[in-house]
Amino acid sequence: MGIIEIIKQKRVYFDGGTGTVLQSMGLKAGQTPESWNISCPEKIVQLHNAYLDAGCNIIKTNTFGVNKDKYDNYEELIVKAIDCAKKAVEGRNEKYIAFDIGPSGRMLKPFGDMEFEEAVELFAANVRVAEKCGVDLILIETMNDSYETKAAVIAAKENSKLPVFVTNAYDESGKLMTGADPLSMITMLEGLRVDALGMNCSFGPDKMLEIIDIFAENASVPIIVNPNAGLPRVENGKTVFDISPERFAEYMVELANKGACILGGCCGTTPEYIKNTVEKTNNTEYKLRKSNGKTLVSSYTHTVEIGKSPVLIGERINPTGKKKLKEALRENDMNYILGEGLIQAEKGAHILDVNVGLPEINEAEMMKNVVVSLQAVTDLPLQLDSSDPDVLEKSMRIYNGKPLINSVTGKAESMEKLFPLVRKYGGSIIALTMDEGGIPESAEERVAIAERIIKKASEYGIEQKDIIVDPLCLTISSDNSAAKTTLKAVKLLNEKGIRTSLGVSNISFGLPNRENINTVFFANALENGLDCAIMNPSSERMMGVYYSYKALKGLDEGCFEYIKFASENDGAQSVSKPSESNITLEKAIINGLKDAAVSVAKELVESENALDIINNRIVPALNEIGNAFEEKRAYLPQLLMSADAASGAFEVVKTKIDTKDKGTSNGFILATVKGDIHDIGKNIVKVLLESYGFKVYDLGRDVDPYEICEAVEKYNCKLVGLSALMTTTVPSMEETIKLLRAKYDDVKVIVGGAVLTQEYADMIGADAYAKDAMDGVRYAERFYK
Amino acid sequence: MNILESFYGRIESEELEYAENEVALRLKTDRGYTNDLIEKCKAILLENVDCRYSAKRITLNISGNTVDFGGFTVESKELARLLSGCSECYMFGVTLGNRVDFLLKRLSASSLAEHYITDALASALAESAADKAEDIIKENRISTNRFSAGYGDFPLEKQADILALLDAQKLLGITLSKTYLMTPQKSITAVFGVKNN
Repeated sequence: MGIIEIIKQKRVYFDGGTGTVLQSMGLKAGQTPESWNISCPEKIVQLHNAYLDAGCNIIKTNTFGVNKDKYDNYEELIVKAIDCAKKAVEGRNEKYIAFDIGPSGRMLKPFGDMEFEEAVELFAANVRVAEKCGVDLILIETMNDSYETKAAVIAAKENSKLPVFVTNAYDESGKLMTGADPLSMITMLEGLRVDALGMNCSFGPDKMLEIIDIFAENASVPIIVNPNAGLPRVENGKTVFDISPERFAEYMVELANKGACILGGCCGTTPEYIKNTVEKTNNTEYKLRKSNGKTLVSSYTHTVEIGKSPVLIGERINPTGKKKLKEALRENDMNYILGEGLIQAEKGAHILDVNVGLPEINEAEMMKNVVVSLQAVTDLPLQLDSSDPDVLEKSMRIYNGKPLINSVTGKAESMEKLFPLVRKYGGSIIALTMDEGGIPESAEERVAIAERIIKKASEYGIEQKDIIVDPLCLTISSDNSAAKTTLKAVKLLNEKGIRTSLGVSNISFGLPNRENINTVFFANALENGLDCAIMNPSSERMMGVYYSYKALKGLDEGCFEYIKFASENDGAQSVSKPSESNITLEKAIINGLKDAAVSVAKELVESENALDIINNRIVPALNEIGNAFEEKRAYLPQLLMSADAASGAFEVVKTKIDTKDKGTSNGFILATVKGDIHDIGKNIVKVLLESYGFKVYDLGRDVDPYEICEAVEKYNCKLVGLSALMTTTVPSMEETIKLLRAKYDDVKVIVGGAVLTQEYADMIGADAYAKDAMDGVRYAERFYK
Repeated sequence: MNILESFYGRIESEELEYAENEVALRLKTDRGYTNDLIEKCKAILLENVDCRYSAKRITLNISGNTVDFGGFTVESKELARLLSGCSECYMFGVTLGNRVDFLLKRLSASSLAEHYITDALASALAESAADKAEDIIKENRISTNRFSAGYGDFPLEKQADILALLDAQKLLGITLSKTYLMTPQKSITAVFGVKNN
């Protein structure tokens, strides 16, 4: 019987710790466990045999620390490890080999330096060897980051047909080191269709008891529990663990009774621990898992359930009808896009829609960038929104969590393209009730399409819970029964237990004062059972409907949310606020008062020419604080607050600049060099330059020299600023300068960063050294004079 | 390697204090109007700190400029000088946790001033966390100053060995980039010797 069949019938057991037991067998400090696969394989076989004799069913290959980055001979180490495991299980019944994959030891971008695809390939190389040798399953274990876990699962699935089990290491707070809680991991991993999941290592079985209920309430697949033997400590020069084999087994009985299915051990658990566990838990009831029936989407730390309380999907990151966003997308102005995300999060959105489709940009690349960047600044789940399946696939792949996807239709082609993606990467998907025949007129026909979509999805193993039906909202300005039809469809779907979503503001397209219509329609839709609304969370009136509805429906205990909302928005829609004590724009900037600067700028643009405001007010004010900084009368925090205020004012003024004046802006390419991930200095320079009206092409951090050359070409910009914080990355700065010199005669390079000095800058061939951000601005001014 | 003692623990945010001189060194400010902002940043930072430390007390041998820690050796004149006369030392790591990285990332998209100030505050806080951790682990032993890989002639590459000894990935969530940068950013590792009495 295969492992997949057997776990559907009865409890099976993993073995225990490897490293700690090998140490007791003579492994020296500084020696790695995997080195014994080659130097003394008989001891590895002995270890496996001891666990099998103790009653375990699944042994882990001794490959936890092996990968191609660490070992040139990783293939040999894996082949030998699997050999040892095969020798041990030979002639035994119902014994299985798990190919063991541990963490890479590196952090993925954007917080670390490893590309997602690099991580996938690192794990894939191991999986290919294991697949060739033949094992029974793949165990991805001790992962303490959700993104790396996803990379490993994708590698396993793409390079083998083996069952995939995953266990994560939760810390004392019940979360992974990078913040994911058990529910987020369950949501993502079940989306990726792993065969069993759970926890290992951590701080012992007592800590796991604190979170086992979350697994028991939510996991649809068997739950694995492989704890440490408590906490390690050093006693007479030896590592010992604080939980005895007997006590360990008692904990395991409790865990089993609470729903743990597959049991075993991790650090410090010798065969004796496993033997005790098997004996004590063998007669406990084995509960089979079943689907949790919940519609869940997640980010890397955070899960949102659709179907309980109404869910708001922020619609602002979608260029349709939004001039500023279109411009930001064309100019790759990530800060504007992130700002839109942060505002919606602050206003109360639960999920953010992300659509970056514009004919003149590479949508797939932009989508990947926006998704990764947004996930670095917000923990809200995202709705990946595109009409192009290729864009969806690329963004689903690099998304950290289980996304919401927008959208599939009842057209055969749409379903055939999208359902395999949902099956592979996980996700809940919005299904539009239209097909080859268009959008049906009646609610009943729309429901019929929804049911056909759900049926088709089930053929791909996608459950109804992951299909959220959008019965489509057409404007009442062209069909006065449109709202009635849509509301009826929502009601019918709701009665059938099907989740629903609507782009509510479509209802008023073409009409004046659309919020009047939208709010009433939104309230009606909620009353008919709408689960998600794609809307603008910055609309106070729409949010008013949402909070009122929740309060009226008993979904807001003590009306707390409503009261908070109401107090924050008290009278804000009355007449515009008088400006703060007649402060001038210059003064607001010099004193770093961002809110004041923005409101004064808003008044000024009504009466003054935009370019004049910049040249006669913003720049002189910045110069004043900049001079104070250079003369050490002001310090960096003040300068930065002024820059924040100036940027705020600049944003306001920019909207009024004629397009013919815009072309004159002078460019500046900015990057933190390859290998360095510090960007605070670079960002300071960027904002100051922008405040002074330069057009900054910010390439980010850890930027390859070739990418910088490409930017010189692409933007036809001959001024490049490079930043580095560490001595170790200055050589990479030098390499970048060499490459730029080799390709262009007329490019000027200015360098800065903590470790740089004038001497250093001369040595690596830079044209100039900036001791601080103002130096960079002054240099740019001279360059363009 | 001869490990004599092993430590792991958390330091509650309330127990961490900003050394005012560290803050002043980084922010150099006393002009009224930024103080509000600094206080605001301090409060948000503390909400996001998850401070942990891991440490080992181990024996060591020095010959010439080579310091032998058992599992690995370090060639460094300055380290050998610092630890001369010590037969034991502590190695430790302390981190403010990943959420501080996330916070800084978020601020970098919203406010330059808050990003810069919070980053500086976090650096100051990491130093004071290192002081605190040092006090906890060494109890009343007389010790040398602490020294970290990457300073002077103590090769930065040794960071990998130090983190492995401390089981830092598992206990502290610290990983190392190819250029030997630690994530979470606000992490410190160091070694200090115990004076033989």
